[in-house]
Amino acid sequence: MSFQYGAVGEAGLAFFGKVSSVACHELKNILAIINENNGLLEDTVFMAQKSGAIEPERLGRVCEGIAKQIHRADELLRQVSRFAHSVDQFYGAIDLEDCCRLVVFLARRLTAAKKLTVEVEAASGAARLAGGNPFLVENLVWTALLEAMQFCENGGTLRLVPGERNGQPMVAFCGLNRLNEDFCSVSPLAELLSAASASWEIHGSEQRCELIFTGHEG
Amino acid sequence: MVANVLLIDDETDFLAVMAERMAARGLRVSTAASARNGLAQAEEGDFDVIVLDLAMPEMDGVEALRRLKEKKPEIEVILLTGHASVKQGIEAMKLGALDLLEKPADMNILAAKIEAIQAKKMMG
Repeated sequence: MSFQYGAVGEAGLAFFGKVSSVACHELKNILAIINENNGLLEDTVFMAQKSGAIEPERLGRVCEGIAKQIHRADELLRQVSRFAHSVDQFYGAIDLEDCCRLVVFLARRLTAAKKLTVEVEAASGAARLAGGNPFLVENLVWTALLEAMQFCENGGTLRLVPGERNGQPMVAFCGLNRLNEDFCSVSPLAELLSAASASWEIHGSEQRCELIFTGHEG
Repeated sequence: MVANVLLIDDETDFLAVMAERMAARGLRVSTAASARNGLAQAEEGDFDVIVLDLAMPEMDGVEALRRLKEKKPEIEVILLTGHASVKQGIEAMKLGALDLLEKPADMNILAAKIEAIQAKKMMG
């Protein structure tokens, strides 16, 4: 497995760094909201000391606001922790639907920049690699997602459909309404595809691309 | 004279609480959940100060600041950021931002800065 990391070292580090920095940014935002809710509590206490009146409705809103952010932070940390642990599991079975859901969650801020709705459909067929490097496959799905996003209109919907083709596990990226038959660039994916024994097929007329794990049986 | 403030941040929960706290301090507050919407409001409205998030997904704060200063150079801008780099801070200052505060920011400091801007405007 060390060969795989060697082959995609730079891309892998960039991927890990990007996910980490986006997660840090979101955590900072969460802390900022909790900080403002805390400030609102302080304001409420100050006013109550002056007037003697407490506003239960306002206190309730503050509690709800804090609870919402705690839930948000918990979910973020759960997913980032799962992602971080994929680096120390060098080899194992990989469920492509789970992998897609994780990557789409981690890429939310980037897809939001394009006002893009990204949906992961329930897997049809054996969308599962019997053995592979989880981090490498996540990196590949992430890069493919960013590549596919270029061919979606702002405000559109991109669908990831895990499944199989001729017994090989795959993920279809559907809804690429700016994709045309002439497009045939695979450069951002080439090294990762090679390392993961996968291929990237473009179906312009169907407005979809497919990430096929050709070296794997479903 | 009450300062007219526009808050621009893509975090709507942040906007809501900030607006409530600023209003409690006597400021007149409007909000925008995207740079694009904020720029539109800034063009139409009569704001004294804009508090602008630096990192927003659709258009970042530096680009929003650039566009804003082209059209309304008289509006003072205070940037808020979760993780400003020195480079971003310098760029923002060059573009005419008055100040840059790191999140989580102290509301009393922010309010004092807005009041100072308003006081200076009234004297000038």
